[in-house]
Amino acid sequence: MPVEVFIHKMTDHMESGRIVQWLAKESDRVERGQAIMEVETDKAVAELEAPASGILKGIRAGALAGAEVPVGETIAFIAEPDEQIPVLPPLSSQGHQTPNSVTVAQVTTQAQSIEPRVRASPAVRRVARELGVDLGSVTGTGPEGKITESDVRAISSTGTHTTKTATSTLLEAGELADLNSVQRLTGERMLQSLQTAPQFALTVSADMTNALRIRESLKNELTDEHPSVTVMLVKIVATALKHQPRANASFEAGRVKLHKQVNVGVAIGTENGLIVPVIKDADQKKTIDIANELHTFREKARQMRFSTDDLSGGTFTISNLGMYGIDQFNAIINPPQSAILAVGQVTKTPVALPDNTIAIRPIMNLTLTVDHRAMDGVLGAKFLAEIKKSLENSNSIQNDGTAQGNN
Amino acid sequence: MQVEREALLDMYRRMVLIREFELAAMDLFKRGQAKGAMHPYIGQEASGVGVCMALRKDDVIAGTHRSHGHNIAKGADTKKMMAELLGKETGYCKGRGGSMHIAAFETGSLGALAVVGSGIPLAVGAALAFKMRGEDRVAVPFTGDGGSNTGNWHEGVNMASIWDLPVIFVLENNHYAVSTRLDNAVKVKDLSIRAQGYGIPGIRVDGFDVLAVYEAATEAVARARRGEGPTLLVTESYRLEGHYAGEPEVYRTRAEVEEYRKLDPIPRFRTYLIDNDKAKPDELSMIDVDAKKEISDAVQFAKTSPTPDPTTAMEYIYA
Amino acid sequence: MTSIERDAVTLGSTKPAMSPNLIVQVPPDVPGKEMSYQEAIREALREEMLRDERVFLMGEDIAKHGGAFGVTRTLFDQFGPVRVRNTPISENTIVGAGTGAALVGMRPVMEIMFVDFSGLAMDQIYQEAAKLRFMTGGQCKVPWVLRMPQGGGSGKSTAAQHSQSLEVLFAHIPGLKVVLPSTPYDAKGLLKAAIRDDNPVIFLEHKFLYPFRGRVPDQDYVLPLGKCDIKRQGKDVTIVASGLMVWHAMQAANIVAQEGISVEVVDVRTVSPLDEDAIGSSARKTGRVVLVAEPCRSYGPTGEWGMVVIEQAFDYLQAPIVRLTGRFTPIPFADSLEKGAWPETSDVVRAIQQVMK
Repeated sequence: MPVEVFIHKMTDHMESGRIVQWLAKESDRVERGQAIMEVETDKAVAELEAPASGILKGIRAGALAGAEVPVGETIAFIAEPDEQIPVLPPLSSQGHQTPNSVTVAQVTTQAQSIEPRVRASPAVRRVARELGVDLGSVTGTGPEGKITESDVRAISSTGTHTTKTATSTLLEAGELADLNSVQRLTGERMLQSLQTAPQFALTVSADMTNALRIRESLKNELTDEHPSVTVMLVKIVATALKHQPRANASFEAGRVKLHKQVNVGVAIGTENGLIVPVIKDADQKKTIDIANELHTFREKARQMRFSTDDLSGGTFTISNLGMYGIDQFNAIINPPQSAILAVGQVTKTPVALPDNTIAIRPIMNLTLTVDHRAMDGVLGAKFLAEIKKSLENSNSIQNDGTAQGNN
Repeated sequence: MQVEREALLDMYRRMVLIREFELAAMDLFKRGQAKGAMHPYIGQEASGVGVCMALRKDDVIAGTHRSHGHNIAKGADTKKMMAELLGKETGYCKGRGGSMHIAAFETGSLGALAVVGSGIPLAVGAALAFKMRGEDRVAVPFTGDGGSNTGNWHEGVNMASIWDLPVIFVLENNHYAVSTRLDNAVKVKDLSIRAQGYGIPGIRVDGFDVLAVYEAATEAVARARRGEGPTLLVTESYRLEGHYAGEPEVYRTRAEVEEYRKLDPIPRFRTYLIDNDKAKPDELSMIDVDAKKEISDAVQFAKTSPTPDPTTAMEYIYA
Repeated sequence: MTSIERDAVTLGSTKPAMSPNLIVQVPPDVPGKEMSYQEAIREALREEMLRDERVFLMGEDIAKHGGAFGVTRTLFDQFGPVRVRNTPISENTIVGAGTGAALVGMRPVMEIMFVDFSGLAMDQIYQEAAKLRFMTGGQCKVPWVLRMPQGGGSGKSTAAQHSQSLEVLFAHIPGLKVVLPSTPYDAKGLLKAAIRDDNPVIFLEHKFLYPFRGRVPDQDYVLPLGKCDIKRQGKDVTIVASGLMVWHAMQAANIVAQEGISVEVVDVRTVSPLDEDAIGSSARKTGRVVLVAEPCRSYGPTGEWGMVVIEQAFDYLQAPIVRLTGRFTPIPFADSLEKGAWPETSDVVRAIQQVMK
């Protein structure tokens, strides 16, 4: 019976061996135990011994010096001179195999926004989870400002525990309502604005006679009546911002950053609070486009369907409370902008004309709140004066937005 | 010593069975079909068989890493052994032990043990239990020349000697501990004289002569059963294959191996049986064929047996 | 997690009171006797040897001499040299022979004089006894008990090689069980359980506790392995402790009770398998956890207990877990250096106060 010649496992992990050279050739007579091949293992070069005595035959094609052969794979036979041996297909030529390169997984460190850690023990967190309380909205009364369980229960609208804090005596009666995220965020930003920016206000009264005439003609194009004054203001303010870059700026890290773009935000009241969508490149848009954009924003406001893009990138804000009957107010700057324009309603007001006669004119108050770090009183005044002048000059805004007069 | 013909044939059969088993196991390992390591007993069959033929079923043996032969000599089922080598559920140890830990308690084998010398104290403890219970059973730990240098061995022989325990310490001297030659590890040439340090008899026999081993073992066992205490039995052996299957044996010459191959216990015993009219050639050939068949069946059984179910991985940790 | 390292300047060593009143497990109306931890262990051995003839003892100097700590005194006279067997100095083979005897049906209880010497027997302990059942696919079992005194601070200044607490070495090995009783009542009940268990059990006896006294019932009883014992109920703080540290915990609990802090003391009792549910349940109840163990900090039991607390009670934690452990150093000989090597009552008190913040 022919005896198979194969490379056997010589070390623990050996899976194949490389033929270094044959020490016997086809048809040689070999004795059992005689070295017939040199094999390179993963550790050393070793000799392969003939497993039996007889004629070495049927060396497989491909089993040559340099070939990498798997352990246990028959590469030749030892048999009697006249014995038949099986015919085996040639060995597939395998070069020296390099071990699989292990690809080291790249650990991608995602840029994580590190939120300030809210200090609360695991037990308190669980209670907050169960009661649906957002820990970010809770003020901790524990040591070093840690949030305690009672703090959480106090905030929870379903909580029945009385708080143990010192302020509990003041909050005897009444419901404690959660702030929604819009209210909370607005509140935080307004607080930040007042705390960081030195703000002062300048007021002018503008005679809206001409502006209202223009507004009439604009009204024909649009469905929504009231925004027309705002729309005109956006256009006028955008132009004025182009002339007074320091009003179109942000105060960041101790420096005034003058913006290239003029993106005017318009404050809109919604069910959930104040939202300020932004009309980008307002200086370059036609009035009609501004009107349409503002109209779309008002629609979106009804459904709270704004995209991040809608609400970002503003360089100046206009807030108009005229439709609520407000004559004048001082708005708080929307950080990081450096100014905001608060607009009141148009009221028929007696005014003294240049010839000292009295006339009833439609007067609208505009109050500009300014960050003193970006603009001082003089610059602010000049800026506001330009706006007033543009409003009072009848030809400054045309239907198609082409500039006349002061532009 | 007069030995029954039945027993002689049984000796021959066990040796051939071990030889065929080891050849088949080596083939499986060399082809990478059996994993881990395997330490062939080829050439030493007479030592294990000679000793185990002197034992009863209720005597116990403790093995080494080279204990396929011991287990088979003690009567283990070759199917269950082969299945254990392949890590199958049907193996003696349900695939949990592998070659180096094959135990067959039903035949009185406390198991192969991988840590050299570790079986010595176990056998001593078993012998202690037998003596305490007034049983005439004996315990037989096997070890090699290397194992006889361990603390296990010296402490065990000492303890058995002071308590006169029924232990036969079988030391199969195959002259190599992996690659370390005996003369680099032990000062004395004749290992049996180590017994003198412990006050027990030490006997040295030709480990290629199954009858010589059998005779010496029978005497030692009788002593032990009589309550006369332990014996050190050194069998001079040689392993004709490497320390493990597939080892490139760079530490000894081929010439040396071939010299010892001439002492191969199986053809030697065959010749003895025929020359002394104890058996006919074709009787022995039948035994050869049967053994080959038994082993080839065992390999088939092992290959087709199921592997252990992973959901049982946590079993047998605690009783 | 914080661990309180011992200050170099100690706050005055407070040895736990030896009064049996500190830990009361058997009410006065139950018929019983007051005995020492050492006696309780002896009684357990005696009772089990009477009950089961397969039980026998092996170790150095345990026969007429009665053992290095006197635990096996009188047993030689009662049971004789066959069952109370002196051995040569051969730790490895004491355990190995015990294992061999167990394999063929005996139930040996072996003694190694100090847990520190277990190194000599490690092969037989963790390579053979622990694994034989598994490696043989369930063909055998190894029902032995290996008793070893451990621990420091006994005032005997036994120093580095005779004072260690090494339970974690064994607890890490699958196949072994590890027990560390803290009271006479626990020692007797748990040793009986260990002897009746079919697995190799490492039974560690704190040498400082040998003279500690407590009531033990007259009636036969066995305690379950693998279960903690709540030595003291409480609602503010959970202390998990083992061995001698349980006594420090109990003393500290009494002290802080005066400040109105209610402490629950969980005595681990069986180091492995660990009763994770009991630890988790107590931690969930109080939300504030102190872990006290004698082995040194690195990779010691408090790491394991701490993770169990986190796994089982994270959402209930009111404060970070505090642990007290032995110092990470070989134990020194001089008194002045030995002081502070292990946690004491005052340390536990401070830990409780810390976790209450």
